Amino acid sequence: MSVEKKKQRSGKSIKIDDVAREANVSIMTVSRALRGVEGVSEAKRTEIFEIAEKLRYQPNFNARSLVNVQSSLIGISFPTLFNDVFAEMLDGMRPTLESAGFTTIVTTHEYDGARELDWIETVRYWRPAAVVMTGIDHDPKVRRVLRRDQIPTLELWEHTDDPIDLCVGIDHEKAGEQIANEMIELGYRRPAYVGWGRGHDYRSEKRLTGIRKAFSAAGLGGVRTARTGGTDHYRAGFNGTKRLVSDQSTRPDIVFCHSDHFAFAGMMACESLGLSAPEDIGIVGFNSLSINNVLPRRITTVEVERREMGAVGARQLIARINGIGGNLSKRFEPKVRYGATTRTPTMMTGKTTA
Amino acid sequence: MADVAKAAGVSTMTVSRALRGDPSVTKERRAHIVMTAERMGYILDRGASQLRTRKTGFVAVTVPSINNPNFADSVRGLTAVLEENGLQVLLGFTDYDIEREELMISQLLRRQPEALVLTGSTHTSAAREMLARTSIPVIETWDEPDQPLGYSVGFSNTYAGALMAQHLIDTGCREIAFVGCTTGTDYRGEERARGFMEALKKNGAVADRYIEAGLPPLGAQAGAEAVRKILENYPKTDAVMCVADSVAFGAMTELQRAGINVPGQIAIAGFGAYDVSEFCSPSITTINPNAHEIGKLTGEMIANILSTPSQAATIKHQRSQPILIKRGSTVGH
Repeated sequence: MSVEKKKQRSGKSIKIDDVAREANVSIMTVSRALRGVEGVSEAKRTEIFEIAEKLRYQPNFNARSLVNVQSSLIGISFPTLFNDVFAEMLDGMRPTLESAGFTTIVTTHEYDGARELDWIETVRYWRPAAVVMTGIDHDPKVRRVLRRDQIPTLELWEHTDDPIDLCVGIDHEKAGEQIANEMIELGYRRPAYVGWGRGHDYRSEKRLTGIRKAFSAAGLGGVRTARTGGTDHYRAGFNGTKRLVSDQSTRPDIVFCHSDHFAFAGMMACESLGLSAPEDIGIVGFNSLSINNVLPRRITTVEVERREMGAVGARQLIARINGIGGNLSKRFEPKVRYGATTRTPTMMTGKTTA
Repeated sequence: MADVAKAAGVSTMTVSRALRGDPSVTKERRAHIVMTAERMGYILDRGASQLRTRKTGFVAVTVPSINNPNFADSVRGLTAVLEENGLQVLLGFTDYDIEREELMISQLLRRQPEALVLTGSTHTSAAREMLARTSIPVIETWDEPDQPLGYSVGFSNTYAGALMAQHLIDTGCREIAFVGCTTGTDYRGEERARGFMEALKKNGAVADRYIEAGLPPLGAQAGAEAVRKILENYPKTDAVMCVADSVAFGAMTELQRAGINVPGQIAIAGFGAYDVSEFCSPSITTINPNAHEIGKLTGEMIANILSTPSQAATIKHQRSQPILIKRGSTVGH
């Protein structure tokens, strides 16, 4: 007689050890497979899922901290599609979410908190398995709704000690501070920043705050800024940088850019004025975008493992969906990656760059 | 609903209550019933759920890739118009895979969108069947479909390819390569290549150099690798057209790295009028597909159909016009 029938007859519910016995693996392996954590092959995972389903094994719902799993759908909200950063994080998330049987539906809110809230109101009717949002700045009602409905929620790309549910990302202000400190160390003294208009991208603003903090802590002057609207990164970078560097009397010696795309266009703007980096001016990007891999002169930038961030976020979220409580947040650490658009530490110690 | 009840081992009334979100059904049982209903492809109908007591208020869109400024621009144009009309846009990404598109379509239809927007006109036969059965408006974009499913907004990709071929011929190029995706993945890119090659042939130019640069979406790195292949296999090449501007940018930087003058020795052309092609040096000759316009026209079409269903059949296809932008990478300064 099968385990299922025996249990049904005796009126006992199916336990995790029944699944383990039937699958001929340890309880830990079943748990890992169902939680979507690493260390179980895809083939094994599928087999365990099938057995769990056949036995009608129900993970202990009471153990779940935020559970109202109703469908296989995961709603994802990004500010915009005009950014490789979000594409890469999505790429990192999807294989993990989809191999665990979830379908992802994406929306964009163009950095408008009211639109994000509207989206939450639509998606919650679908009783989604989870939602993923970008960053940690949302309309306060978003937090209330998601917590009330007990929808597992991942805030991706930014880290905070007080997430709605769980978050995986970096501290953007610290990232700004980190790159600025390295540039101060290299002797740069007159900083400027090129980015979007105020209130557009909170994370970029936080990086600027970090840059300001670092220069002010070093007793150096303020950071001049050039801000542009629109969606064209290269146009914004070109025009913004051009504005900052045209006047020789106020010309910065280092320009921090919103992204590598801004920085590349900024470099083009400098060249159009007869200035080259790093001889006349330093240019720093952010996010180590793929364009940087083909440039003859690579941009000094800040690297964040975004695909990995997406993958880790997805795994942690699946763990939450499967009833793992507690703090599942993870913080990533950005790294400065030197290119040929700024001085480099090796230059400073007199060695030549390879 | 009776089928769902049978499969879930509960009464029809319980299924109805569960799908309505009635508190008399326990959370666990409701989860089980909803999962069962979903697995069986059961579409929540008006009587079965509070979902259907109101309009869902959203339009579903399938997009091949998140990482493409053209689709981003279309989505932005579409979203702006639909938002004015009180409709939300929800996106499913298909990774240029029509089987995934089929899955996405079935998932999205189950949630009862007000309309469905698809990118391209190549779909699996199962998807075609599903779409033929649905009562909501279906709009195919970025193409001029041979067998339209309903409505369409877009342009002929073969025409866009021919447009660029003619320009390269006019500038005196004769040994021209096309860098595209692995065949069978990016249908619209292949259409452009087809139109491109046909135009080359008509002008007596070499028309056999289709360089497969990998799976879509292709980026700058794919362009750089393709150029290395071209230099090795066809050293006399005098022009390269790339399936997208991102690829053209990578191709150009690789040529410059190799000390080859663009456009003096090899001309470079792209497609999409991406932002990068305007701000690099030299700037890249491209075709502007008016992506934003495609989205906007699609949004207007949907708003129109939904507000006046009786006249819905009048305009079935809206054409957008791709425009050639001549720049330094083919014509010098």
